[in-house]
Amino acid sequence: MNKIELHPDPTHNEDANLVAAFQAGDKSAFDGLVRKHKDRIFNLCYWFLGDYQEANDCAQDTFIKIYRNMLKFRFKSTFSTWAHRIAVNTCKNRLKSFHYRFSRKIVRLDNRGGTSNPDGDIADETYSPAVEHEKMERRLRIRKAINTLPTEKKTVIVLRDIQGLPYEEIVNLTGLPLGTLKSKLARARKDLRAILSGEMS
Amino acid sequence: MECSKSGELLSDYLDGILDLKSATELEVHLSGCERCRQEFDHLKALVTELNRMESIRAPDDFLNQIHKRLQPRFSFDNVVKKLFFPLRIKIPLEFAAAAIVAVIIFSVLAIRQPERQLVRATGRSISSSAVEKELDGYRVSPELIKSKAKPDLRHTTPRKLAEENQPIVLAMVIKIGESGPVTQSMGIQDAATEPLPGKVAGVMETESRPSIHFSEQKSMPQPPVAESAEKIVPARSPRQAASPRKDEQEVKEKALLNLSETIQRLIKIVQSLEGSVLSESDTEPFQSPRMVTVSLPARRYDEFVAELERMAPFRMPPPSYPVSDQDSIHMQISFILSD
Repeated sequence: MNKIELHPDPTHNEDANLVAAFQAGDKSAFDGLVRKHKDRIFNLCYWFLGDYQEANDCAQDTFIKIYRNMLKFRFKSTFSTWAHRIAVNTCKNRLKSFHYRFSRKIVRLDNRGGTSNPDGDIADETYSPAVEHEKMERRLRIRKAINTLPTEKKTVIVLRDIQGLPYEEIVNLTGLPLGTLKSKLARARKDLRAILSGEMS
Repeated sequence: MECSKSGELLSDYLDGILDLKSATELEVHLSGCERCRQEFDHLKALVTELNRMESIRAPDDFLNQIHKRLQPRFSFDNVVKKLFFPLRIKIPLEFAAAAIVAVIIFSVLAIRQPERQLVRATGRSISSSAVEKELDGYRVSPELIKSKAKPDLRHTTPRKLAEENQPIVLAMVIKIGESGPVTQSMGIQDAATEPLPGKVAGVMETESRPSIHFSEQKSMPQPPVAESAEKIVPARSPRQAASPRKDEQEVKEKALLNLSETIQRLIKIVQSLEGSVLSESDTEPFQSPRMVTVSLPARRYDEFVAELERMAPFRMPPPSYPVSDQDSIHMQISFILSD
């Protein structure tokens, strides 16, 4: 059976060393942590919020929270798990915030019926020939489908299927029991498939 | 195994976390159920697609942006941002606050207005009937006028009164003795009222062209009460009018001499203080009123007052004049000689 490879972070010792250095007073250790984790955190935020600028804000917020709270970090989980947890909470709060809802409404109105390069907010993408364009369209559909999921389902599907985090880590950072996580993920995948195949509007 | 049960296990099976027994049962079911196998294939395709989703990378200057936000900044921009942004919320709020403050200030001023008028009016009261009339307009009892009748120049400075855009009146009283003026006193008096009889009155206005009016009268033997600014007994009393004509003529000539001397002295003082005489009405040299208009640099005002003091001591201190208000003070000095 196609067993999804879990990704236990083999470099978490490196993270621990950087955190320890930071706690010992070496503030530049923070830069190392940012460089190492920024893309994963950014990606998480991007898929969570479905908007590049929002993702940028949230990812920055996440690292600023990390910076301000790192002295209190007690190594009860890996740095990566901790960072992801902060990112997920930051994203959830952003989704709840008035600002996010308001701006999203504006975007939706602006984009209604407009198909010209709706995914243009991805920095490293350029308009491409038909195949690329089709891929882009598909990605956009998936992103929109994920965005329509309720927050809890979105959380598990982004963490598990987009970020590829192992179950154990998701349990650690969401606090969900494993059984709940499994059933939530199963339902989220089913819903997502339904949305994408047009069975659900 | 039923299809509904199978559907619940597909996700776990896909991730390889199904226990061996369940996995075996599911595999048996899938091999026999086309629908569930299709379901599984779709799910697998979706998850594979999700796994392969392009990872969105953070912008290149991500770390710099974080550093920027971590720096404590107390720049002007931040202050402006805190004060005015979001514009659509804070600007109306600030306008509302300004409006409220304005309303409060104006209402306080409106409430205090009668009080201020009273201060002004009592300051210039000096038993003038015109002032009493004005005070009646504010329904102030005569008892109150009496109790507040003593003018307090320290509290009625020209600046304060000028704010009300009313002429400020400075009365100067000089008692002429045998050898010239011996006593001066300054008080507040309405510009519109007659010069105080039997006295030399100085009047100072700060509306736009401050002026000092002097009026002089012959040195008739005056009742002692006439020296008091608050209780002025007119010199043109029947008693005085009835005095012998010869004596009166003699005294008048003497007074006129004093008048001319006083005017000349005053002009000299003004000229010594970089001031200039703008006009001097002397149509009838021996007739009152005679008017001298002088211009004096505002910064020399204090010296001018000091010079006046040298002529005769002030019974009451003259009001101070703010130097910064204007460069020069125009003073209209009229010398009135009553017969």
